[in-house]
Amino acid sequence: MKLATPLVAASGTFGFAEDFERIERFSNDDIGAITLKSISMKPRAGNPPPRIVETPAGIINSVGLANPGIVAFKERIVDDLKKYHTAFIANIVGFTVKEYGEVAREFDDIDVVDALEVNISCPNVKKGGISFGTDPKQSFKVIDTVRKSTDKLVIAKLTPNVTDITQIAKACIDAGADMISLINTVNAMVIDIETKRPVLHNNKGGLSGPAIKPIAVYLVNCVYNYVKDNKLDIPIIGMGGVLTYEDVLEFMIAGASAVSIGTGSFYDPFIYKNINNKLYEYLGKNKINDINKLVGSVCLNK
Amino acid sequence: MQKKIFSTSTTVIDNISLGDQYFKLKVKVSKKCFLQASPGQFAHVLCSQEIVSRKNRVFNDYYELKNYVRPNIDKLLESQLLLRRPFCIHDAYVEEINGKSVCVFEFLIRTKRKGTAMLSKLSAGDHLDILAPIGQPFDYKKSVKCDKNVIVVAGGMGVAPVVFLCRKLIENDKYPEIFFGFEEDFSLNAGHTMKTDLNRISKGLTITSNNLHEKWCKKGFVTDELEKHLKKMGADELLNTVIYSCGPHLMLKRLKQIAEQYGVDCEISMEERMACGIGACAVCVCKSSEGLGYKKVCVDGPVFNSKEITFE
Repeated sequence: MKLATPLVAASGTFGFAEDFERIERFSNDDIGAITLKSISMKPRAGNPPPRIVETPAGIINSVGLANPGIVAFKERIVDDLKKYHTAFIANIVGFTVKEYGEVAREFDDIDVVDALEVNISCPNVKKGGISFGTDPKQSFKVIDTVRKSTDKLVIAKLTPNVTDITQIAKACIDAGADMISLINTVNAMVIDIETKRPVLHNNKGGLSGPAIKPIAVYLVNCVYNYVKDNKLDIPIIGMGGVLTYEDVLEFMIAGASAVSIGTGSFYDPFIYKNINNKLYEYLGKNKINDINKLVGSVCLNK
Repeated sequence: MQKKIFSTSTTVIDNISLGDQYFKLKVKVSKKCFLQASPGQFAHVLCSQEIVSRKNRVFNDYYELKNYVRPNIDKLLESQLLLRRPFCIHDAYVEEINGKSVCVFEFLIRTKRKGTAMLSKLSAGDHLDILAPIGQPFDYKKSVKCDKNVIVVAGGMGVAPVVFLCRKLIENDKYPEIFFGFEEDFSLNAGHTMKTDLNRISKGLTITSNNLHEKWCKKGFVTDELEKHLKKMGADELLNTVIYSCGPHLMLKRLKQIAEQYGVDCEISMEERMACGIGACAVCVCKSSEGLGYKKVCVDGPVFNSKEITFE
């Protein structure tokens, strides 16, 4: 998969690619790849509000995989995607192992989607999602099923809410994942001390934003080291709290081949374009002719 | 279909204190953004950019906020406020400033927590980054075209979009009947200011409060006064009436019941915690009356026909 820029829109923060286009001068084509919101077999209403709360340098969301379902996606959304000149990654989710395979198969005839990101890491639903991503055996089963159901590139999206992320990464790679993306949001909660109730209706949610960036950088580096030590060719899409071009560079140096932005685009809708321009400036100034040379260039202390 | 949303840096013309925690922020906006704005729409306002440029000043001011003194707050404030805050357009008009025509948006804001505290410190000349105008407006054109009686019901800070709405109605020779209710969250000073403003733009004004004992205030809920008013109307009159409303959930819930009971067309403006503000993230939802789904407050609303949504 070749991207025009290393910047990717993160799933769940970009809808189905129509929303940011409402803003004057915004163009989806400024983004290297767009990851669509999670799609399941059946439509899902999602969790009751409040679905969001702001915390220092971050936000906690609990949307709960609200989506129109695969049928409505094919009928109402796919054709609209064709007018853009960027790559699309579909994010798929199931509530049984079998269901992941079924959703994956539905994409066989959707050429505009280049890759499937398998969501085994959503913290906001009771069943499915994260329950598959915290157990290496379950992760293997899901990715194995998806792998056998599609010819498209398979990306496993990992949760940080585990003891040893390399175990999960290994299981996904063994099952045939072409790429790894990480991290999904971090389990979190905010309590209103007046009412003694959690602010989010779902009680807990997933923390994103700059608050989780150091966690994400570390985990990207962990997975990168595993991939490198085993001489595997598995690109990593890193994400978590990216706001600036320095953040993008940090992720790439840690081992990410591409970097996703999510929460940051709520702050600045033009973040993709702005960071991209800054990256060009940086590469020019430092006489780096290929940004890929930076990937994994971190020198760990002995 | 929503027209284009402008991402733009506005300039603060004035920050007018209404006493206590209330203030009106007057900003200069571009002509194309101004021309597209309709009553009921909102601006998604960046709260953190001024912190970056004038960090120390805001830190000091923030300490003075009543009941909000905490140790180590400096450390906490070093982090930026990520999310924009949605504020409906309180008023929009063209003003002559130094011989030049300037397009103005006004926002009516109450200082609640960090974001609004930052905004309360802005003064003339400061910049304010906004995305605007966003969302579905009140369909006031319909009531003008069909020559309907207009009733406006506002609760507390829900009075914010009313001024712009009434301006547009009055431009079309329509003077609404206004019902405005407020509780302890709305101070006497701000209530007084609002009373003067609303008197100017209505043919009849009823103000209610449960805890303020002023001559110009009726004791009780605004929805009760509305119901008394509707009771006096004939069936034909009710059919030819439209209610525009904004306020707290409980008030809107009761209003929906009343509107349906009397068969009056009713549009309500909803509020919910918001992130992107443009429809992408799906966090600001309210319950749809069709099926099991939700509607996005930011782009499907904030103004809905009361029949479109349900309250729990």
